[in-house]
Amino acid sequence: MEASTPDLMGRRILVVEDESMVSMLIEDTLADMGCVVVALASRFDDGLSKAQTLAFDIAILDVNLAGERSFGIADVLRMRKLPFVFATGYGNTSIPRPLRDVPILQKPFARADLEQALLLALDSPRNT
Amino acid sequence: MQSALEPAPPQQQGGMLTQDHELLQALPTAVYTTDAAGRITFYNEAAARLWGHRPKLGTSEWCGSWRLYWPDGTPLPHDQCPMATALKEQRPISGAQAVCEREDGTRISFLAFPRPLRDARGAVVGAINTLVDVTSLKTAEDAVHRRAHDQSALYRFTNSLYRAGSLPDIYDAALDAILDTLGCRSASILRFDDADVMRFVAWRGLSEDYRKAVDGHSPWKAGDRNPEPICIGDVEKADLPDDLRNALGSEGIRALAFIPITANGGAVGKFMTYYDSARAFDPETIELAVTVARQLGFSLERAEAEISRRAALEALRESEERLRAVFNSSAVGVAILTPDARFIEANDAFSGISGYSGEELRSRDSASLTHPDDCASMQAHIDDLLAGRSPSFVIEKRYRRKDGSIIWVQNSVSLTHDDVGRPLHLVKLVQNITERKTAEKRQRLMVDELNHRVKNTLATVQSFAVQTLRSAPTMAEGRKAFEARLIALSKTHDVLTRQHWEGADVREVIDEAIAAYRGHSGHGRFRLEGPELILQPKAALALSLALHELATNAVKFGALSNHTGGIDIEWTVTRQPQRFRLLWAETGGPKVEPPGRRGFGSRLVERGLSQDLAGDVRLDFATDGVMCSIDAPLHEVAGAA
Repeated sequence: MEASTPDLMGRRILVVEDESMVSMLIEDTLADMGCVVVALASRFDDGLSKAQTLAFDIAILDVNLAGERSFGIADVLRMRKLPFVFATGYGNTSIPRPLRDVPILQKPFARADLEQALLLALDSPRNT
Repeated sequence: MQSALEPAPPQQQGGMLTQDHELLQALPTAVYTTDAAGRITFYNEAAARLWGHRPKLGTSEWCGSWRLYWPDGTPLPHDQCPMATALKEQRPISGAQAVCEREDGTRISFLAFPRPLRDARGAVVGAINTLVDVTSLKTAEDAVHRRAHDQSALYRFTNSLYRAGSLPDIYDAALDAILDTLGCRSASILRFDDADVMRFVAWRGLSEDYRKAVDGHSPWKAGDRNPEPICIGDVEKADLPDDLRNALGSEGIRALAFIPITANGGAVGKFMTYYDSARAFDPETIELAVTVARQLGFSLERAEAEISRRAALEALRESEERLRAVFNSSAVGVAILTPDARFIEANDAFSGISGYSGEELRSRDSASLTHPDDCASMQAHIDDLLAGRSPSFVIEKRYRRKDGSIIWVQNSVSLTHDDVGRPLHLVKLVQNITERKTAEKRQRLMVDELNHRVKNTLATVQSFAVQTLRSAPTMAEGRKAFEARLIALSKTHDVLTRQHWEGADVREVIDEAIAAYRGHSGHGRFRLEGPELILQPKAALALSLALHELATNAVKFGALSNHTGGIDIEWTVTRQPQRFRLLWAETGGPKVEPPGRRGFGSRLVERGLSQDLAGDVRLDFATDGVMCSIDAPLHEVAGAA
């Protein structure tokens, strides 16, 4: 078990990711970092309702959920002023302009990338 | 009659007239007498001066002149002169006109007043004639006649020039006028050609040899401002180059004149007059020649301006015709617009692209066709053109066609100017590039999709690696398990690639997943049962990876770890409710011990598959054999059939 990052220790995370293997990796990595995965969603509808209702500190949002874009979920998170990061293999060109400042976790990712993206999201002035 | 004509005795005659002779000698008027036979018996000094000749008294007959001519210049025999007529017809004649030629060649016009002389009986004994020199009167009269003739010739010339439809017509009229007014035996017109060399363009009465010999000769250069006529009154006395003198001599030309023709203020050519004999060129003749040359010059100026105007018109018409043909037949849309972008004209191709007829376009402007989002940028480009900041521009923009559909077009726009540099027209070339744009978009989507798949696959591989290595007892086992999973993933990709990633049949997916274990543990140990069903790529991948894990476990611990076990794989599709169910059931294997700790394999099957299919997956390590049941919504599994 690696040393956990103090800032992220105990943070409650919502993971919205349709690829099981990727979500498993995220879960394991988060667990290693001392974070708590409060819920997992792999479809848009499920992700949307969890984003609206659950209590968490930060969300990791896959851009493409079984062919559906997750920007609707991002809008809900913005309204709730909850920080989040996008996980994507596309790069940021496919992300609508208003969401371009959201930190991006490029797949595949190293643990340091995940940490950095989460810290960036937590630091964002939008959430203060 | 005969006797009457016999000469009278000289004595008698002399006696009769001696006193009179002195009287007659004193008169300033030419007077002479003859006997009845016409022999000259007396003449005074005035007569000798007029004749320039002294006849022999008693021998010379009828008239003392050297030669005589009728007023029209035809020779007049002495025995038909007025005096002869008066004697023969015995009647007086008053004022008969004739011309005498002196030995020096000068000619004198005179009026004769012969009168027979009779004796007391009335018989004709002789005659007396009075000659009145009217040369000065005649010259003045001739001058008047000549002036009238020249005026009339010039009038005819002007008239012919007015009717002349071509340069040869003009030359013809000019030669007529030259020959008519300048009294020359032959004439020619020469013009500077394109290389400014003087060439014969028209002539009368000149041999080809002569024309060849003197072709190109000119006393002036093309465009000389004030060329003066040059007259050579006697070729034999003039200082001329030998070759020219020889050519003139062979042609029998004794005198000639070079009269310059000017147009638009400069020399454009000359006309030549040629004479058989030496002559003095009087100022009137030169003046007349210059007048003809001036008329000819004006006429050439006008005709050539007309010719070049017609040529320019014709060239313009041809050029317009060519452009019109290009305009009409072009596959590219072409439109002509006002500088404020209102349509003036458009070709068929443009109508085809926009859906509007040429007529409909004339009441529209460019903005009414342009997609609202593209108007501002279009206008900015046009403003640059009008301000002279750019000569042309190319823009890709959207058109709203007449039927409302949106198309992509490429516009190449340039600006034309009028003579004083003001903007005249916008010329617009338009191509429909919708197909290219669609293809570009499709390609961009494909590249994005490919990128997405590659990145997801890499993330999956990363997950395999991390989790396989984390749970492996030894590095060697971890590596072996990782490789096996990587190969399973690759095989599933093969199946999907065969179907262009549009989906794969469930049986084919299962066959591929277990193929390695069939070869390894013998045939007939798998029994597959279920309907045809095309799986979505994602479901096919998830199922394939799960089956690989189950088979690996069966080889290690389950039905494939001995020689008797078998595995049933059965799947069903129900429509009410819409579910896909699959059961993996191992039989005949060794007694199953539930694993103390669930490894990555179990997690991949239960957790991974259930997440990917959004269904329930149960893995049961029953004593008689491992069972795995999958129950998922059909829409999560089934692809487009």
